[in-house]
Amino acid sequence: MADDRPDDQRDERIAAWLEPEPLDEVTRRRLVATAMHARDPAPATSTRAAAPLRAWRWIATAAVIVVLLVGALALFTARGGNQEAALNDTRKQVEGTSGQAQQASPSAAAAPPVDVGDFGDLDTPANLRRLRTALEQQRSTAAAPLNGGEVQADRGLTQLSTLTCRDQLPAGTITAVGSGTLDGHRALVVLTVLGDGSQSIDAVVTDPCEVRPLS
Amino acid sequence: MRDDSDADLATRASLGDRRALEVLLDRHADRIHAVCRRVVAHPEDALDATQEAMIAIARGIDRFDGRAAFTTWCYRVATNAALDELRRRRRRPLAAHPDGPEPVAPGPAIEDRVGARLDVDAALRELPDDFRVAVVLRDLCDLDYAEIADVLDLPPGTVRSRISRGRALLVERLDPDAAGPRGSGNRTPSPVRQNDDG
Repeated sequence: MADDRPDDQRDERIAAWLEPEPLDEVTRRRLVATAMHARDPAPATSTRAAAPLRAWRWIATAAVIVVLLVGALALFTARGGNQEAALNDTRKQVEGTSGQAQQASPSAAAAPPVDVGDFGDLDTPANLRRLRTALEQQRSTAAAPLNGGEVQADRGLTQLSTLTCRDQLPAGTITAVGSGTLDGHRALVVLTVLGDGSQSIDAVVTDPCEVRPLS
Repeated sequence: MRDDSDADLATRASLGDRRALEVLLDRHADRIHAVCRRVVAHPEDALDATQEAMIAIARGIDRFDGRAAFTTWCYRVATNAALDELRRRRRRPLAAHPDGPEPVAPGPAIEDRVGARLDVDAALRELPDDFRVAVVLRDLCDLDYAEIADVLDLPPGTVRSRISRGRALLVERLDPDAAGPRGSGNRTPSPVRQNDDG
């Protein structure tokens, strides 16, 4: 609001009456020092300065933890888990029983087995026929497995490794695996390339464990 | 840093610059004390109020938003601290802090020596708080009406009325001859309205 009235002006006479003596130097310094101390009782490290330090300490700690976790994960992955180790054992076992086939057909031995999927009730001729076709197609196109086929095949091999009657399978290299049910029992159907280059398709029925030649 | 503006120092102080805050407090200590001294109208209590005001400024500098001048903000804090001190004093026993004239031993020599100061304090104490604060902010701190209205959170008309009445009462007590027939020979406080909205 503008001072536009005479009584709005500062009254210099009253101002002179009201003007107190200035503070003496000692008192002023004491007042300032007390106020500064009240704001921050620990002047050596102000709160604002300490906050970034604490933040950096937390960040550094978090970074170390992340590095350790990544390192541990990498180490675990390199060694492989228990399941991976068991699967490797099964692979060795299967490959060990088909050493002759590996010599005869090195390219087939190098290719991983492929899971062609679940075909349902294999007592139905049509389903069995489709499974057989899928297995044989995998043999002819072993170098180009289905998407995710290796993972599924690993699952099939893992199941196979748990079956005690797997030794009844013919000696050779397993190139493809399928699944379904026979007589109401879960069954894995494997295509094995024999040493002479011929193939054998067999079903490994679970509970009770039994190998049934299908070819 | 001594030559930096209040606004610059306040900005740096609000960001944690202790030295800037220290310079600000040192720079305004006398004015903060002047407000407290005249609002409280008691030297020792005024120092307590000054200390409280400076602590409030130091702790609250983060909240200073720069919309008003730093001095205006300081005066607001000082005024509130002084009024708080007045309220505390009135709750204390009368013997400890008499609200009346300061206890000074009688005698012409002492009256001559400190008479002027005693007159101002005594006259100020006879003013209602609202009038005293308004006159102090206008004539001692040289704030304009709008700034005083902002500091006291009052309409400008009320501020104008309080200043006018406060000045008249003060002159009546400190210079009765100049106050005219209304004030001459009458040292008894005039009845005044505490809540005048002008």
